[in-house]
Amino acid sequence: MMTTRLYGTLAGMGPDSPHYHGAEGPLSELSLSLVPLAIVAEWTRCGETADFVARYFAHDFDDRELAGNVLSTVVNELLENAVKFASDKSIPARLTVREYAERLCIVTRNVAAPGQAAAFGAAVSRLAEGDPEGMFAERIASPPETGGAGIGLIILRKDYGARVGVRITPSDDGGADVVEVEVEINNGDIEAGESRA
Amino acid sequence: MSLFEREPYSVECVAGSDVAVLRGVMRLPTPAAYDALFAPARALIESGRPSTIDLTGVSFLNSSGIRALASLVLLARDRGAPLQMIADDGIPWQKKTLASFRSISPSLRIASR
Repeated sequence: MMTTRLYGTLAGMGPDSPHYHGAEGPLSELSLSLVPLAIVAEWTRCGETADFVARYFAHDFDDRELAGNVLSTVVNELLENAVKFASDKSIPARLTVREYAERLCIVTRNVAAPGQAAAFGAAVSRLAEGDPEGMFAERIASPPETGGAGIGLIILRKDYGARVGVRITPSDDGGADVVEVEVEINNGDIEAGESRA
Repeated sequence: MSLFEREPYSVECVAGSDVAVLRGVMRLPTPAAYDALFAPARALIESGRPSTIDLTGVSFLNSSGIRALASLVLLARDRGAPLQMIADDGIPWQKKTLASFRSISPSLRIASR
């Protein structure tokens, strides 16, 4: 059994957590399974899925328009990442959104080539510890590094105060890794349309 | 709107005008996919005249689009061409992301509507 590696900031509140079914568990949850190839074939599916998920959860916010805009932006970025990053685009990727009393957690899961997954994990660690404003400037002023954390994740951290973590589980047979990207945003930041930190 | 009617997006730059007006939901798959779409704005900047990019009608711009937009900011900076962007502070991505462009081009002017 290969060891799962963790990078960045992870809340660890999925179904495996002892708190998941208790009072601290999610108030609402939505999970979708999508074949990346279908999104590559018709790219508008990505935005349409993000809009659907955003509307679903925006009902729980006072300013639905603002919350929906932020949620659609965040979900779209994560779904784009999962689809582009998937090493085998015929294996379904998963998008899960969990709503808690004071925060929203969005998780994507896809397969990735081991070397690319490790580089991505290291980049997410740097993002968790670094200055997102400086990383943004650096990223748009110079070509992207192969396998690095995309500018999308940097923007989510910089503009919406998102906490970003990655869980990488290698396969036992040396094949593709399973990569779970977890992004957590305070409901207050979603309602404000920006990070209030 | 029918279920399958697509959200339109466009970049308009009337001949002789110094303003490029961007509208719609922009979620193209890669930065390169924006090359053709942003060509009128690029041509405007390359003219060397003071130019304006009106973003108030862009409700969504994905990270590929932000990178493509940043390349216009860098182009204006490198050519010494004055560039202004008009933003709507009520649209979340515009409020914070555009302000960050100043870190790569301090001379960029951002007007809020």
